[in-house]
Amino acid sequence: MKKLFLAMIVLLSALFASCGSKENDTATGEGKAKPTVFVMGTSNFNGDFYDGWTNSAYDANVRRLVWGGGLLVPTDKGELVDASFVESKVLTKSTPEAPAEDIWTFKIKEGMKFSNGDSFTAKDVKFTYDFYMDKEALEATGATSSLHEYVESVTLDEANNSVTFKLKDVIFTIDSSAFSMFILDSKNVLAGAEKDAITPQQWVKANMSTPIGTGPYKIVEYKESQYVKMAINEFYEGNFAGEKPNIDTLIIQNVPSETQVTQLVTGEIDGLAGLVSEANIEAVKGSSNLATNNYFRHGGGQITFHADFGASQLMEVRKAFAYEFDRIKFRNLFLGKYGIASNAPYSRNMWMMYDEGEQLGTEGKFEASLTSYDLLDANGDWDEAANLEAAQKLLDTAAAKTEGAYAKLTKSGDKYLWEGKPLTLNLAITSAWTDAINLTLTKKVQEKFGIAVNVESMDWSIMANNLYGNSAKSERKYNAFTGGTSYGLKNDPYSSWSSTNLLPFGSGSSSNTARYVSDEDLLHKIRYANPTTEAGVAEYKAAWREWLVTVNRDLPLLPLYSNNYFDAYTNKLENFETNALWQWPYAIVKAKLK
Amino acid sequence: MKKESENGKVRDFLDLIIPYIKYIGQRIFYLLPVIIVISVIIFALIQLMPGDPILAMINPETTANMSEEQRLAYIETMRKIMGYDKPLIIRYFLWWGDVLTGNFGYSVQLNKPISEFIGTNILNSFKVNVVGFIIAFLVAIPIGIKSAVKKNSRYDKIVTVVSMIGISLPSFFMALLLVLFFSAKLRWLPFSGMSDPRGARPDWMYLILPVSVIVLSSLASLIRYIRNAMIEVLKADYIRTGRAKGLSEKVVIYRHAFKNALIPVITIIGFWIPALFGGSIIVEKIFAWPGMGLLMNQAYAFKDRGVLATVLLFYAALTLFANLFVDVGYTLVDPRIKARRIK
Repeated sequence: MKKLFLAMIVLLSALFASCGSKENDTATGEGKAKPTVFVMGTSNFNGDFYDGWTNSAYDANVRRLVWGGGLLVPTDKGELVDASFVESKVLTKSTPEAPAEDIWTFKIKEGMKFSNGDSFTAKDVKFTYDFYMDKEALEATGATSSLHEYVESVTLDEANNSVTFKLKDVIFTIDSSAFSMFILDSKNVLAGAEKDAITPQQWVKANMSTPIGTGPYKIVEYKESQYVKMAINEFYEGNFAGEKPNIDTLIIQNVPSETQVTQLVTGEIDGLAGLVSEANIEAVKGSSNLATNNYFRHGGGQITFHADFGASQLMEVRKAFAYEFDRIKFRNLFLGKYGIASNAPYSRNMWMMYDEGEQLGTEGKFEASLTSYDLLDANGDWDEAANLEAAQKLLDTAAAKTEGAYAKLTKSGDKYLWEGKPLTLNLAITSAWTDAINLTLTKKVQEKFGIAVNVESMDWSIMANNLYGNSAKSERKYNAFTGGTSYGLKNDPYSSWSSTNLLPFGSGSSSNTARYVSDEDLLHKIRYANPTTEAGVAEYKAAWREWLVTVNRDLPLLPLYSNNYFDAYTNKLENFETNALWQWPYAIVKAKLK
Repeated sequence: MKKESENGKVRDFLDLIIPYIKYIGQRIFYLLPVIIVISVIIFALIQLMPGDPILAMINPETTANMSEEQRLAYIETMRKIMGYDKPLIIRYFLWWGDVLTGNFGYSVQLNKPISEFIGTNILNSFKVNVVGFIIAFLVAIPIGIKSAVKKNSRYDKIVTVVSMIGISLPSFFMALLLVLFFSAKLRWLPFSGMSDPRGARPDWMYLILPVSVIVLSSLASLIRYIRNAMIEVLKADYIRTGRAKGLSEKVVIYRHAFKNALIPVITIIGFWIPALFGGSIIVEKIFAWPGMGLLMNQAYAFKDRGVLATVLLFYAALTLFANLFVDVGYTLVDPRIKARRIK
């Protein structure tokens, strides 16, 4: 017995000893000011700190800190401007007849360095583009890049320290599509690849968690699933405004969702970005030690209809469903009070939504002119009678038509029928939506409005297969799907809405998931508006708005919510100004700890 | 003379150990069909999970700007890289071949071979669970024994009530209570993680809360088992004989009664070890402790089939190991079983 106890105590001691201890590494030298440390709580990250492989938002934040941007860098207004290491940028036309400037030359400043001290020249830029445009070598490692779709060739002028790009097409979003790529340290990558006798792409993949960049911070310690510790990159040239980081040590720490807000309120961590639930937001707003920034999400959640299938192929049915769906009730159930809904695929962070003098983040004149699918009473509440009237008017109109698919919709007494059976939509959802959807679309509401809804909860992958049209045609049964969307910095509706990408159901396509055929000429006009001229910008805005009005009218998707995000942080942090297009890794550069 | 004596000791040791090695080898041999059946079930379950693993793995935004031809080519490339282009039966044997050579496949979520990180996760889980198990065992034995010896006393009643509370309290609730009290209110202990990025706290402090939850959630049932087993043994004739012979109460209880009470306790521990690791899924999630539980949680959410298969295989191996432990444990504490099985 004694032996058993003794053995267990020895084992315990060994296990505790293996946990070890470490010395305080924030100790300061004599006479020096105490280094400032800021801990940002986050969800778990993969450790993929190079572009091109996995796409986790939490890894992306680390990348933004390591690089800060590409040849073009973002501004706090959501624009893209030359990076501080770019001395000049010259845009020319390859031929006088070219519709826009398709030759872009970037000259890199002399004396630039990567965070490890390696010199940073135009050679690194050329290497990076060759790296990501080598489709075969890249895809062999499971990575992907669309650069080759935009860039025809890259020419290096070593003597002049410049790189010239010949573009395939000058689309309106070419700056974000082609010139936001983070620049790789060619010396570091090539030396590593040579030493390990593998391709540069394989080497980068194998060393994914130890990136070398040109941004405000460099990684000094990474513990998988725990934290990333970063220090100031002394060679950083500054952000778009020439600002350099002030906080000495930045720690991005994985914190569990169950305790993250308590950790923030008690000062265990210093910041949390993108809080969405009402309980969490109220908790941080109620703390006297914390400050908050809030903004509307650049994206949101929606119901996407299959506009080529069953009853949902009729625009009137989709719109009647929208009137049947009390989005205000849904939003309160799903998010609490921190969210809004749009009426087409846009966000309040898009400059195209606003006219001169209007404020981003507010409801502008253009947004107000779109059809809202929530009819409200005098008190601002969802008006059931008005929505019911609007829905039935639409269904009556559709039932009266007889051409094409309209012949399948009939009315018998006060019931609407699709192919002789009660009008029903099959809605596929994932589990997180179940309660809010079921409590909004009650049987009583369905009976009153005349559209029955079969709600089926399933795994995301199963739902996605049906949404993308990747399941067997004979098994096709869903008319609508729930999901979320995040918009990029620049918006090119062609890439996600063009009907040229549509394939017959069963072949699968992740673009234009609504299977909606819209005005291709208009999409083309938006895509190919010239971004380098004022006339081109105006043309883009006008065409984009025209397209949005069409989508708002035809309703291939019904936006349900756009979160009101809250970034919460210690009130010792000053000048920390985040917004939807200026995420915390960018804003932290200007911030200071009191 | 001295050499002969040393040879004798070695011979005695070998005589003692070889039958055990033979016995363990025999038990492992009997487990082989079980391992094969379990592996087929795990593989089939994982492969028959709904949805296309490759489509689930690819972020739609990644392929949003590709032409359809490029997108399909990309999907096919990924399918080949992941080995999903081969028939199910071939994939099963390939999987076995890989497992036996230490290649557990590829994590689509973490974008790296599973063998690169699985060892760390197993070690992390062992740290928290083994420490918890040992402490629970060390604490439960004296409490359980005393409770049995003083059956129906006030002490026994208090232990029984506290044990019932411990059994009834879910571990996640207990974890949150401990966090609230020791981390949020008293600020004595860290909330979560395994180490302090600021370097202000030693790593062992991060073990305290998760281990405490494991100890507290398993202590109650362990005390009950030890108490009940001891009560049964204390009724036996040989205990009465021992006392009549004038043996001290300590010798009667610890040398004679407890050793025999260990038989049902060993059975329970056999089932308890895998359950302990399974139960730590919630503990690891709440404390952001990167062990097998947290890995399984994330793998399930992401439908990361390779990781799920590996984690399930780990739990299956743990269960089989626990069974082996029970079999060997019986022979160590019960001479009758030893006489039958160790020849």
